[in-house]
Amino acid sequence: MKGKQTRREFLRNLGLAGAGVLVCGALGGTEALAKEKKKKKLKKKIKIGHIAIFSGPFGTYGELQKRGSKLAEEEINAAGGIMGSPVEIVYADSKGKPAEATKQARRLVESEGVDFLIGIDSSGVVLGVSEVMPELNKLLFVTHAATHKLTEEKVYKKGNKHVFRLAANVYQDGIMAAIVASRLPAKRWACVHPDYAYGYDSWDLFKKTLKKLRPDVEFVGEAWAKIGTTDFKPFISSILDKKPDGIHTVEWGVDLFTFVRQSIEMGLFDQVKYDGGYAWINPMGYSIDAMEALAKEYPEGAWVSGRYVWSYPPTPLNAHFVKAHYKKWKHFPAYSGTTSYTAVYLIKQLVEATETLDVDTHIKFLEDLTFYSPLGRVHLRKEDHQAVYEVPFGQVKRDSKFPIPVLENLVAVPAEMYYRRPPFDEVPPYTGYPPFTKV
Amino acid sequence: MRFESLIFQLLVGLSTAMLYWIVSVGLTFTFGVTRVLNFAHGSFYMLGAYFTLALHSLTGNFVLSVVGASLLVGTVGVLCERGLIRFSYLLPVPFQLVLTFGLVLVFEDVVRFFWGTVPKMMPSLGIGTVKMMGRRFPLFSFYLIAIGCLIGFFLYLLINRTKWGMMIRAMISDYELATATGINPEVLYATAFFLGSFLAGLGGALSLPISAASPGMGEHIIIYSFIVTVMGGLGNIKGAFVSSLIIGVAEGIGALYFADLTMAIPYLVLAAILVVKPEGIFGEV
Repeated sequence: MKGKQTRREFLRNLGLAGAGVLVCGALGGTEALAKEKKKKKLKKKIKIGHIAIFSGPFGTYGELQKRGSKLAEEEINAAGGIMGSPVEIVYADSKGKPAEATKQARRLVESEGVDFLIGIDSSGVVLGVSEVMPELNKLLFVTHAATHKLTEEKVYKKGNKHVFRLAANVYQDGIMAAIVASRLPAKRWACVHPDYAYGYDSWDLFKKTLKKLRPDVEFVGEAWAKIGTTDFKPFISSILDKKPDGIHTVEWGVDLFTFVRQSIEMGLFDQVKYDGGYAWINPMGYSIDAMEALAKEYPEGAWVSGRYVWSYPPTPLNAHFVKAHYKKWKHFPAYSGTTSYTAVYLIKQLVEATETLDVDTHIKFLEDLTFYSPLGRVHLRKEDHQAVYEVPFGQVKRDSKFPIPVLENLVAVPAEMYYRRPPFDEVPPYTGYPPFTKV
Repeated sequence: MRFESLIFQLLVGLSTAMLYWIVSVGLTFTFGVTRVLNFAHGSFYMLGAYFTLALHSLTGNFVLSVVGASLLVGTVGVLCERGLIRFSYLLPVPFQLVLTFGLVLVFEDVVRFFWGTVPKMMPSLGIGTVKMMGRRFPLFSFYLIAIGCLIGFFLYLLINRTKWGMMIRAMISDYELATATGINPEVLYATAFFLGSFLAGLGGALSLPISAASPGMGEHIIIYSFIVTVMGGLGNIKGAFVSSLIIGVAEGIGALYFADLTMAIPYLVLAAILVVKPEGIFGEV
């Protein structure tokens, strides 16, 4: 066995080597190989079902995702498709409801005949849809929903192998946020969070990690605002009352716009000011929708992140993606658009390397795979099917060259240091994590 | 210290309450007159916000935009009433609900078509804040409180001191007799709908400086409007005022003392009041 690669291993390694180029849109490998692949057309068309929220209050989120997958579809088809077969993406509206999303997943697989599913915006929805994936026997690549219960419980503990998540999860919002917080002078932390699982999970991880890194901090106040809150003044006022010097908030979307504006007015930012900016940690603050809406308002010096920020990593692949995305849509890519783009290219890589549509082969190939995408170097963990890649935090800075604020003083920690590891009973960071990597 | 915090929460709660009041009085008033529980009231609120956005980007004048947008929404309301809703007056309630709910979907898509799905924020008004007890309070919230009270005052005058108000009251208390004396109910229905939609539009317009406009914004407010309307007594204007205040202030104080419960507070208050007074605080009109 040793020294002698099986065909599959060889192809897989080839896939790894060529991954960077592959995702770029140019086919990896030699022309001869490409020709041989063309002969072995698997299907007339490779179909991908993309389920996201396209209607209702959060209809934006489907649009942001679609920008990514549509771009990938066009690029791939222009470059000859997947093993010669064109790729087609079929969009379906989950309406943000688990039952509806499950129905759509079933319809896409059974009537539309899609080969893969990607997408899914919210945590509740993803937990529902993941249940039917083994039965439908197709793979689902989650591009947005962030609950760690999906990967820790459904995949790792219950053995649901049909789901992979390409988006960073609450580790970014809780643990990485706390690592950044630990380096700030603030000692009295308070939170304003959306009143549902995502808010509670993030705050819980944040508190545990921060306490571990900085035993001297206190947690002085909490405010829980339901999704769709249009008036944050009662919450801001009650938090101000606790005199915090640091704020952790995972508010997002339209609630975040409102919250930031009202916080500026009521002096919550001034309350958490320190020498180098604001001890204001908003993991979802660098979402594209938030930055576009608050381009002129989001206070400079606040610490924000996303599940991907367009300026990181500074690779040619990411530069190509951001440029192409901006050219096509006149917007910078949202993280969910980037993960959707990644999903489509990963499917291309997967099918071309395995030369089959057999799901078990696919799962084996994907587990423990490392590949390159605009997100950077991504490792798909075998145990929980979570994509491991780091996303930096940075401070908001307005720059006249860009339509949205940029991030300065980027800080990043290797993802392996702050992603919870199986069996998920410890809170990172794992000992001996290196000092910040300044980028 | 504690006392100051309480005052702050009260003020904050009051300004929240005023927005609930402005919107829900429109709902309860139209219900009182036409007996249609209008689901699309939340959509009128949303239209108010989007019209204001559009007018503001054209004129740059906020006050003008608010007034213009509210009048426009009032007109849209009348068109809906004359074109669709009036045909449902004699139908069973479920038909009315389906009809007005259909309007919700239509307006949501109209907004999505013209303005897209991305929530839109108006540039900050920049009217600043007042310093009180070492803290800052947005000046706009004071304006909101004042506007709410003024609207209450005008509505009182309109209903109690004008001929139109008299006719409305006559029609509510005895439809047969009122129409027999020559009151034209169609005109009253249309004007009542204008006023109700105008108020919803005004609420939406006034929400803009504090929060973003999004295609789903009506859903949130319509739930609050229903809570307020039911709590105060269906169709009861005084009831709407008092219950808006109760809900707003309960939310304000609740955020300070029961941080974990804020989401449930309006419902708990509603439940508590309905247990004691099933007809609402002041009863149905």
